[in-house]
Amino acid sequence: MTSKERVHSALLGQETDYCPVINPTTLVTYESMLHTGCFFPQAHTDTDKMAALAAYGHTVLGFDTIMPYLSLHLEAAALSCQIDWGYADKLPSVTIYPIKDLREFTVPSNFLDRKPIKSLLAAIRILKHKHGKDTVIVGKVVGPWTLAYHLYGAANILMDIIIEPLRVVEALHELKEISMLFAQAQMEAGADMITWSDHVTGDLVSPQIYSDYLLPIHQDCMRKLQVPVVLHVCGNVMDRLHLFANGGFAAFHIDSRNPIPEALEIVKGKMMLTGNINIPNILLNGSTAEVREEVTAVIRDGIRLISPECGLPTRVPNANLFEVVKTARRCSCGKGVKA
Amino acid sequence: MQQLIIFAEQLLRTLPLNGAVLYITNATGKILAGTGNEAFLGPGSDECYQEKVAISAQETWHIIAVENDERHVAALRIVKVTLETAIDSLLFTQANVRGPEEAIVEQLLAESDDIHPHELELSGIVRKHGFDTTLPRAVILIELEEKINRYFNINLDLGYDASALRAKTTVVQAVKENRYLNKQDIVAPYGYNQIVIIKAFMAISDTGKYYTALEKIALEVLNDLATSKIFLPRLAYGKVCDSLGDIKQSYQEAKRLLHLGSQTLGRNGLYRAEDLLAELMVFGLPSAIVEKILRPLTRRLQADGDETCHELLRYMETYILAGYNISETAQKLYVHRNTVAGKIEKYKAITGLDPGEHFDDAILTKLLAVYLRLEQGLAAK
Repeated sequence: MTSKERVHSALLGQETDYCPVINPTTLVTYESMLHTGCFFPQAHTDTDKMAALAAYGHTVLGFDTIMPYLSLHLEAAALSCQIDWGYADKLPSVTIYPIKDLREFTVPSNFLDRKPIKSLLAAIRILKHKHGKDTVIVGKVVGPWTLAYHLYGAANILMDIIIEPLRVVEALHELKEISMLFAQAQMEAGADMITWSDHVTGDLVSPQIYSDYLLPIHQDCMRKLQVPVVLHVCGNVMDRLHLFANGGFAAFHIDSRNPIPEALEIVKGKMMLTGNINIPNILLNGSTAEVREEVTAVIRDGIRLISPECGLPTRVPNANLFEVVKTARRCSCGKGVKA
Repeated sequence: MQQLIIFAEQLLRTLPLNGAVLYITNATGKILAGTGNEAFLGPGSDECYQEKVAISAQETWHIIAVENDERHVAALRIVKVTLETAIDSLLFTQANVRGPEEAIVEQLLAESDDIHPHELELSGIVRKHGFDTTLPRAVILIELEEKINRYFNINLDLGYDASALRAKTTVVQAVKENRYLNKQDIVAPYGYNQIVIIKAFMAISDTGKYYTALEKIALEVLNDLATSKIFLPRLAYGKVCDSLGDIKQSYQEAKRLLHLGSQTLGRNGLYRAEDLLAELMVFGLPSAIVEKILRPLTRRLQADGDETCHELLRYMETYILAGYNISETAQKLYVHRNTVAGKIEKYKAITGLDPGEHFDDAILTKLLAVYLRLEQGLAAK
């Protein structure tokens, strides 16, 4: 099976030769930067550098997907947020939120022509041309909820959802147009799959807020997108996983704080789960033996699309990432490690 | 639940049931325990006799006697009473097992300084359970008044304590499920009849919004609890604090509002600080004002009896509220305007205060009325 066939079959719940290892979020490490000569922060917005760094995860580390969107901030940058792009060891963050009133926001007509957006689209085209035949090219968009954090500030949006929910909902509907425009442009450029990052995390909002205000937007968007979409939300989501399962997503990128057997039971027949290799204890600070043990356990628990639980800190050793792929290849899906 | 099924099986084995054939089933008819040999029971026939037992808010079991005769019905009732007592006891035990949130609330609100840990230690306790200690937080305090007390004025042990405890656990759960609360918010029962919500916010510059949000959350919680058959809830919220050490102050502010509101507002529901402005002012008055001005005025007004005193103050409060308009005051009190004018003159003569002419006298009159109400509320307790 090619990587592409493996990932698509796994997404459909069909049998695969071994469990595909994917990266719905960034896989870039400092070691990968040294090997490619492409470093953060330039690689966040430079087409050639982002394509080269993204491809390294597939061509050298052996992941079955290539995902060139290496931050969470391209839409925000294109929409006039002031961004601190960080450096090799520090991921970007928004420093100034441009919107003071949610009603101000309208989708700019030239959004797709703005530089950060064009850079990613060009990188996807390059990767599609070079690797797209056999490999899944993964696009990524920031969903309206996270985009509101970036444009208006998380504290403000979380306050307004209590005080003026209707105004927030109107804004979310407007913001979703950005996510949809960008997702469709990435699909046209060659993305076979899209990661949808929307941080409706338990520490910030209740399941009911998600259900009342964002789930209908997710359902509407998913009906319109013609490629598999993976939802990414960090943290323990057990109290809202059943809602995600009704969102129309092909898969959910789940983090290691969630118990997999129970999670699989909740999403059964509705979507796949991908994840949930722990980052801080295993990938960042663990040994390759611990990585092996973790991947085996995750497969034994029933995960068919292996991936790190979230975007990687750049200090993760490549040996550990390579071990994820090696262990997955030694495992028959669901049957543990082959002798 | 499995433990309860095992217990039910034991009951049917060990109780003296005089040979009666009984089954305990769940709502779908699946037999959980029985003295006979059936696996499933269909719809009850005329010969059967059955009663329900509430296992939890969501689940009901049925006890079915295969014959509707005296022997079977008596045996069924023995099983039912034993099972209900066991369930209440189990729930009582479960409700008394302190969860981490209860322990946190107790530490944060501890009354005595010597058992109150240092702020750093407090931070450690809170962080250990995954709560962010850097977020601004405020207390929303819920006080539950048991409706059941209105119908029983003698202290009979009818099992209502266990039922109330069970209901309180359900109320805590309902509060936790409020849509505006998330995993950073701490919710726990506190003391005999309180539930404490320690609501976390992300810091914002427009601090007025915190209080708008607190009010909205409190109203929504009130709405969630409106269907409770056992409790009448009262709610208030305190100040937003930047440090864990100040949470106690937020709690005390909310508690003071509940205390003042329950004595003066004559209703349950949300007690806002703005509804209790005069009460809060009286509560915070220096002793000099109380001893030098309010008490002597009270004595003078009460010289003609409590009735006269209250009536005069009622007229004067209405007069102030009506913007010192005698006709409007008369309309509000359904009396002739001459009656109002007479009362005003009498009040002026007794107290030497003229609220219609001097703003300070109007304030003092309002404070005097509130002071008397609060004092009598305390005396009544």
